Amino acid sequence: MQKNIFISILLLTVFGQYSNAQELFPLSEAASSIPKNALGIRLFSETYKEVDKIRNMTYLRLMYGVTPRFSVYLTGITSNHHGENFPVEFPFHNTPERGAKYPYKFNGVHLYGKYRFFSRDGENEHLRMAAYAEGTLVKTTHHETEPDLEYGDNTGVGAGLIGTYLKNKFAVSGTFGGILPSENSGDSPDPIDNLPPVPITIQYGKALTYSLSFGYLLLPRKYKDYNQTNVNLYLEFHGKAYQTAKVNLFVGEANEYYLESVRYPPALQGNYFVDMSPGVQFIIRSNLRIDCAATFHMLGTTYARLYPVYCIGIQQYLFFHKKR
Amino acid sequence: MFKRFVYVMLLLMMVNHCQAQVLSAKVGINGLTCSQCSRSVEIQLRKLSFVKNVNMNLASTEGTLQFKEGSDIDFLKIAKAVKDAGFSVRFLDAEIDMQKVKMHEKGFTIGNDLYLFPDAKNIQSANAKFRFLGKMFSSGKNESNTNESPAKGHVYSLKLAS
Repeated sequence: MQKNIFISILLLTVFGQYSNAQELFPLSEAASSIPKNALGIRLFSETYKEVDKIRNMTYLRLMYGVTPRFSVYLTGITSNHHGENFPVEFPFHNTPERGAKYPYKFNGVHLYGKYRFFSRDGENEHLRMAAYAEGTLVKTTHHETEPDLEYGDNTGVGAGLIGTYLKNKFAVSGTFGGILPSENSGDSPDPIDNLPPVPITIQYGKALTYSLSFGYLLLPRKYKDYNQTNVNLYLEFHGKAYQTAKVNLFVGEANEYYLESVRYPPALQGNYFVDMSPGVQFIIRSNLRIDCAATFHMLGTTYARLYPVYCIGIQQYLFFHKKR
Repeated sequence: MFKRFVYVMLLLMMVNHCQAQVLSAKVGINGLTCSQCSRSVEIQLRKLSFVKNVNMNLASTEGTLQFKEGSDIDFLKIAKAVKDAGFSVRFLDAEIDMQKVKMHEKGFTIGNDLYLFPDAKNIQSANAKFRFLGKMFSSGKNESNTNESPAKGHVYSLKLAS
């Protein structure tokens, strides 16, 4: 922990010495929008080790500039994070279910819309603000109360605001939003043989999401042409504050009951956390973008992942050259 | 046969006359800070049917435009292309061959477009560089519009560029 904080302070100090960077954050959205009629494709993968298993989430995203100010993203999400059923004796003894083997499967889709409602552009700088709304539809048995729409843990909706300031080579961006996850139903196998599985409904906690991201254009020191490879450094802080879940057991049966939250394991209790993600980005020929980042835990508590989390993203824009 | 030849020659002369009125244009773009952004602006500008070539200067965040011969140049579309890329125009300058424009009491015309610059008659040099005024061009208070009589096309307000 102390080491992480030391690294973050060091990076912030290094960044702070320059008045210049970029806003193409590996893990956060900037307030800027996609050029009109441009189509972007992004492949993103997040990996971490959980006991003896490697957990991976990979998504493929299509991004389109509907207007100069309004962009939409459609994402298909796959992962090996989720099983068909809830764990045995959920939620009492086996939550979260560390190291369980889950098949790699298609989780569902995520739809995101961002509208840039404020722009103040200057020479080599801009201040922009945007509002976003998102929705996810997945069929997954997520085991922790912390909701996640972008990576396909929950069905639900969310919205928020983004503010981004960019001056020469330096960029800073903040996001504040909320997630309203939907209720989920499923079965938890009964530990006693021959007994039917226990039907469960879980209402995951509502969450506030927040992030603060810094970016710095390291190379080139001076622009000459589009073929110069850009190298950007990033430091992102992001996290959530989430509520305690609500779990009903034996749903639809005579003995259905609401489980008092005091009996929940910590993974279903409300909490907050802040993660820190240093990252590096390469932009080749002013279009092909390769993001590499690692996420470390900083503050608070989360049970939805183990650290470090390694992320890689590859992105490219396609422009339609129709004359007008 | 001879008549057809004369018509073709006259047509060619007229086309040649139109093409040279606007020699080039330079657009300053606000909000640009990276080559990816600059490239997206260039692509939006290149989509314009009358644009022959775009040369972006990443350091000064300016783009120099050359135009196709005989094409109708729509300066509002240039500003809109910059906005479509997600940025805004800092300025738009055009270098115009004053010997080939048609003088008007309020300025001069090129094709159907009226360029408001009352002192146009007093310009001595062959070429003059103008800065476009109006909200779309982020310069000055005078709005360029399409309603000013008698032009059928756009009406642009201008001042001399430094």
